Amino acid sequence: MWDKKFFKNIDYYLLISVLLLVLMGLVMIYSTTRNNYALTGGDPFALVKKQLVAVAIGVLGMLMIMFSDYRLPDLVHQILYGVNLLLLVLVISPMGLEVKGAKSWLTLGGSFSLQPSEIAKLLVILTLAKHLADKEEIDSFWDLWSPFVHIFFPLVLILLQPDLGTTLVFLFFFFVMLYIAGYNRRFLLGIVLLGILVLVAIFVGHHFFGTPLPFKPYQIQRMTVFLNPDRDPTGSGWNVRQAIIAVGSGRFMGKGLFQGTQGRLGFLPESHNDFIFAVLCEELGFFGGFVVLSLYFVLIWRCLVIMQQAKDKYGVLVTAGIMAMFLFHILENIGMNIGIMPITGIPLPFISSGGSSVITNLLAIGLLENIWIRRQKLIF
Amino acid sequence: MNNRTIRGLDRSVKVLTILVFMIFSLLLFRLWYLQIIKGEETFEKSSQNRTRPLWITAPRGNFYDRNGELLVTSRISHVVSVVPEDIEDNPYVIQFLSQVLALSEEELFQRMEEGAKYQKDQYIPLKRDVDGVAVGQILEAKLDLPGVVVEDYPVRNYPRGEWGAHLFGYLGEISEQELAQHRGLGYRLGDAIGKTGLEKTYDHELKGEEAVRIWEVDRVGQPILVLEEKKYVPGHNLHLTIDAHLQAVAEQAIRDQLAWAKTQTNPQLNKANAGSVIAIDPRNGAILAMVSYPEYDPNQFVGNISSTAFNELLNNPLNPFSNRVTRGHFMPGSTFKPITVLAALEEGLVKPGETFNCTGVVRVGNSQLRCNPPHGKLNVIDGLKNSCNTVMAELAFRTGPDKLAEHARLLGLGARTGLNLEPTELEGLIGDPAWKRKARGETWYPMETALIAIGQSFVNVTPLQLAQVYASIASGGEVYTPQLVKKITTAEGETVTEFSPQAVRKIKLKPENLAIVREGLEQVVEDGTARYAFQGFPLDKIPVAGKTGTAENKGKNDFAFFASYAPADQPELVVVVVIEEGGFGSQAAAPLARKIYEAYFGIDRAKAATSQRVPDQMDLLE
Repeated sequence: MWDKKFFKNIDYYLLISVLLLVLMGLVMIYSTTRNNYALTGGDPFALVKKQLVAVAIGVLGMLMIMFSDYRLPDLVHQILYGVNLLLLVLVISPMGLEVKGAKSWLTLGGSFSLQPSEIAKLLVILTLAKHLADKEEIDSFWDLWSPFVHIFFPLVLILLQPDLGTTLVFLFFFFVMLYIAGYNRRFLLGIVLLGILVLVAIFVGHHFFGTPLPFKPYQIQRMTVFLNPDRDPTGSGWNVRQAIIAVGSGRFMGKGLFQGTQGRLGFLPESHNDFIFAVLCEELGFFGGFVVLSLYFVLIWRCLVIMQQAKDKYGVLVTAGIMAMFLFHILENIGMNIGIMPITGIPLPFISSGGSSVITNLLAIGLLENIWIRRQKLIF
Repeated sequence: MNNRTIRGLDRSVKVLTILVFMIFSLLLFRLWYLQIIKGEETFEKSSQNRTRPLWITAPRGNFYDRNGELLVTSRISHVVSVVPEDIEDNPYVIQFLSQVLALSEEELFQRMEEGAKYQKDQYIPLKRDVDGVAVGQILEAKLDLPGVVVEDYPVRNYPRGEWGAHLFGYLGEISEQELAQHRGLGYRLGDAIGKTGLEKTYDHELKGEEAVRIWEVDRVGQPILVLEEKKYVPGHNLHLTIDAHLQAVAEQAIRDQLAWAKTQTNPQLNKANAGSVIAIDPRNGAILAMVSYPEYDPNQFVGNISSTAFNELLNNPLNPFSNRVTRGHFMPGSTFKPITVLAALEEGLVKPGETFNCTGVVRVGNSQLRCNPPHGKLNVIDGLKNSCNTVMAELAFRTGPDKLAEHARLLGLGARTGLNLEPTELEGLIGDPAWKRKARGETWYPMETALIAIGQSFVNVTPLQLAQVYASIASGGEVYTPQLVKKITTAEGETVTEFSPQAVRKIKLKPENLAIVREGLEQVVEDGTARYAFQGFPLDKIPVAGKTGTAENKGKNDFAFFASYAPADQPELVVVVVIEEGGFGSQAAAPLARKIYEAYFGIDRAKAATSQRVPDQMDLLE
């Protein structure tokens, strides 16, 4: 097992860029939380330590996945699908923990808690890839029904939390995977356009005929305020404005590590989490932002390469799903930090503070490496 | 096991790759736009975001008199300031402050709104000179009052109240107009600024440099720590030429005089209600005392003056805000006569020994000028002593209105003296035919020459100008700019600026002519119109020279004047007194001047009177 060839086959671009992102994340978590007594309880390293534990677990899991074959039997996939649904049901049951109006957490005794919607992404990617890879008939419109059914249940459960951001991630990688799987592009495009049309119809109907909206007003407010943050500068526009101020004020070289003020003084909420990129840009400037974007670019680029070199359809689809997941997270999180995307609380991969997220992402990297290592006929 | 049987994978990956490039370009471009293109602008925003500058007024410079006696100072009080951005949406804080500071919520919002125009994210003073009880209440509730601070605040204190009001002036909150005027000089909204008097004239020296404390605050505006602090530099002290003792005597004397006038039955006297006194050193122009009555108490303007009190002052028909010494415009009456005499002498149009015949009336064409009582035969010295209109008219006719005006101007009439005191003094007026043509489009009547000669019609002087004229006579033609400030020092006592006497010009006057005028003025006091006022004054030791005056004023009783200097042989002090609607200068004005000379020369009136009593009585018997 500890073959020289094995190590030679590891994608080091991917591994190193991810490691660098994790490192930057740890530094930024320290920067954004060290003075926040409410979060750290007095130990400036409290959240860094927590993140480190998660990273350790994640790396361990990643290594385990790397060393085993990704091609799991059908039964395992069915179990994984079932476990996923169970976790998602548990989280919206009375066992789930409600934080800021959303039931996204499961307490696992002690101070450990799990965010099932994070791991759900990976589980759905795996089971969906399996489902798609096994399907032979994909040409007719009605061949689309089974993948839709497959994603329907986890999606609805997540929407019930409610976690709009993760729902969008699901939809994004779902369509990318269908697209890569070779489903009729016109059908896919048609469905996406139809979805957009329905949304528009709902708003038009509400505006002109007073039909009820399936969203709460604050959700719409949050989703649209980025278009004009000055409309409500102290309310829902606050975060966008403060994030933009943080990013912009970093200028080229930043205010210096740990010298940022927007997050530390409480102008920017969730600065260790959703808005960690803004603080990074404030402290490390355009330079820092550029480095982060470059590292993410390497990550996505490697995904595209791995996708083309994967040994089988399943590997291609898993890679496509993971790539789409990362891409959407990057676009959405950085986008909302720089005021071009609506605010949905989804974390920045590897950087944001949050155990479930970093573990899931590291496991995903393990899968990518696994697929890459086995791209050629390697016998174990 | 599936094979790689995905149709069109290469094409899909290509499309995906393009999508990835687009997304990353978008993010990178936006980052570039925010951080590089808009970076500077946003950087400013972020700095304002976290800091709340607080300015703390420096103690204002003190005023001292010529002997170092403290005249005006400051006491420590408190000011409550708020950051509008931090409290305007907090009804609890608004209500609390409204109650504790006894300001209505409307007033509170109004003050914040005014301030927010300039500095929404800075501390804006809400109320000054807040009493200790309110300060205690605010400090107790401090934790519930983000965005509110209480700071020490020096409050101007005028220990002598009304005394010297026009000299010192008063402070008020800086207006928007003043703010615009003083842009770049370190003034900010809510600052107290000198509104008039020395407070205004030397405001920039007096205000010092305020302290700045840059607070780092959290999101709700609760101060966390002081990022930067600059200590204040106290304002500079003014060392005045004023003699506190003499000023006090003048202040008391004018009040006593007006009070006495009210008790008189003479209707020409008992309406007296306003006046001015100026005492100036003819050797250097230093002003020793300066009173304009009625006055106001500048302490009233400290903190926030009530509008009723302010309106009362504003609507007072006697206009307590007017500094009568520099801005009172009066016809000088007979106090002008030395100028008439001097002009004729200098022009060589009268011989010292020449006698005139006063019949009690001067006729020119159809008009006539009375002189009451008729003086009979007399020379120019007698003319001054007895204030004879006939002599003055005759001299003026010889001199002519142009030459007369020229000499008056030479002595300082019709032009500012150059005293540096706000509000700026008035120019006064000395009319001549050219002026009348230009200003009124009328020709000059010969009688007007005679009227000028006795200080009526087209002559307007301020008491300060009159003092300047008498100072020139006293000094033998040496004219100095009147001065109020001797020296400006730092709070530690180091000299910043020293003002030496400023000689404006030297008037070339023939000593023999000057001697005649001075002799005439001396006789006015010794034996002339002012002799009753100076009865019992040791004129043998300290001879006083002066001239009484009674000037007609349309629609009002006559104004009483006395312009003088002493000692007559070696003048040290010029005193000019004007009592409005006081009637005769000899009766209403001269006794007041006498009190000032007594104070200046240290004459104990009771003692002096004893030694003089006997010849006085003999005088009366004769």
